[in-house]
Amino acid sequence: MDAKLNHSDLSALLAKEANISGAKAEQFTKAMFDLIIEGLEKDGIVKINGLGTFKVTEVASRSSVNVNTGEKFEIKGHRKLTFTPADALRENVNQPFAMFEPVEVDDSYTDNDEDVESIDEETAAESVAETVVEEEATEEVREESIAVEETAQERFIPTEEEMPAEEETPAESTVAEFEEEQPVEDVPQQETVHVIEEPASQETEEVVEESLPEEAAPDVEEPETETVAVAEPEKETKAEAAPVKEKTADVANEKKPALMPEKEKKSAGITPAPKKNGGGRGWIFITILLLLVAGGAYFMLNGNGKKEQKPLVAAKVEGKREKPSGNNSAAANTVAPVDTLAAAVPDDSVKVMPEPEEEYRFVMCDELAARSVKSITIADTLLYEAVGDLAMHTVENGDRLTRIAVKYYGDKRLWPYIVMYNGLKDPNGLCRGMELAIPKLKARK
Amino acid sequence: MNNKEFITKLAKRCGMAPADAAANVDTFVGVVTERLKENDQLNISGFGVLEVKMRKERLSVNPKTGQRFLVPPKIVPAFRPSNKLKDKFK
Repeated sequence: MDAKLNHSDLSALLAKEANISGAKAEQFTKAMFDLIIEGLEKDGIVKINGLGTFKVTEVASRSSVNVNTGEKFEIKGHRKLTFTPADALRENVNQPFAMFEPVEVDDSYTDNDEDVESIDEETAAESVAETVVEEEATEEVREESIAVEETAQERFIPTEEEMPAEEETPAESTVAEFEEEQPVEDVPQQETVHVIEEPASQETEEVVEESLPEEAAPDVEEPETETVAVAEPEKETKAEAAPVKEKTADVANEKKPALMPEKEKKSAGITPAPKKNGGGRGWIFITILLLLVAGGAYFMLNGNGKKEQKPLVAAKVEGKREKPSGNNSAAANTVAPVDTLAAAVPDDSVKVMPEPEEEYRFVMCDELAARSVKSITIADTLLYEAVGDLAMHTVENGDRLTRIAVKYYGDKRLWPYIVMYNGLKDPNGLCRGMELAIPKLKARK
Repeated sequence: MNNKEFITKLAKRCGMAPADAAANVDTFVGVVTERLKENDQLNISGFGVLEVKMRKERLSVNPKTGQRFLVPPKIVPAFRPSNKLKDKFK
């Protein structure tokens, strides 16, 4: 049982069975296996009745992929020794499972490993029982075969019985899941609806409230008061929106003057309207309010675009000088990088290595002083010259050009200089172990 | 090389009558079969390993008719050639 036998064990067994001496049996088996090998070498096939066929088969070459490098390579064709057991041997070995026949099953059956294992154990236990019984009388064998058939039936029945049970339970569970999920899904939907509706209703309410007192006072001076009234809620909304994006005071203060002229224009244009139509005044006011709100929102969006860049403003003098002169977002944009630079340099000076970076900082300061409104992208314009080697850098895992640039210059935008200096053809093709010369940068004047 | 050739050559090599050689081979095959039935593993150095393997039950589908069959589990005899033999035929 599950024993490992070697050549001499087999020979001993053969000697016992065939009534020959052990030495002769060993010699015989040795000759037999040698002959099999010889036959395989000569003909490529050896057939032994009752045991099976040894055969040398060709395996065609096939292409495969190296899992490490992803390169395609060809697995060369080779020859392989195969063994096809004879039917007699096959049947003898498979005796414990001999009573099984392939059974046609319907679609509901799903493969289940647990069932397989349980069957295996049962059959293994039975095979022991069978071998014991076989040695006894034939009558008992008949009984046993009946018993085996019964057990076989039993074995299949439980599996089939289990199947519907298994099918039902998942179905039920899925139903339960659906039931559980539905309320869960409903709640957020309702919530979101509320959330959306609430602000809208508030806005409309505010609008109505504002419009009512305006209707009540039919003076000529109305428009002015209106504009003030309108401007105020708008500022409020700005004030509300601003804290979300940080920096409330600056933004509000800067925008008020910008917004005011437009509102005045609008109010000037509006003044005739209420005089002409006394009855539809409410509607006109509402539409005007909506327009102003829309205009305010438009300004808000533009203002946000500026605001995102403003937080970085460290050199405030330049920024303030230009904003009154014109609201051109383009001008503001061009200024912004300068500011970011100014802001970035002192920050970096704290972190990064002192030696190369002090020089760089001075350079940056000089540059800042020299430039006023020039649009600056450090990388693209050739503002620096490479003056000798600063250091050698060996690329390691996780290194990127930007990261290296930050390490040596304190600014990631200076990476193209490393590329230029090393004459890299593909900036993305950085390999581990690559030696990079880091150039010393000097401002070009 | 078929069985007849094999017996003839084996008899010649061992200096015995072909009938005796055939009988011995049959006996040997019987011994091997009995051992394999007992789930034994037969290691023959320089040649390979004769053993049995368990094949689990599986579902197979007849591609023509679409019928699904549950193929029962079975035990199959298997032969693993030794590395020496493998290299010889590579």
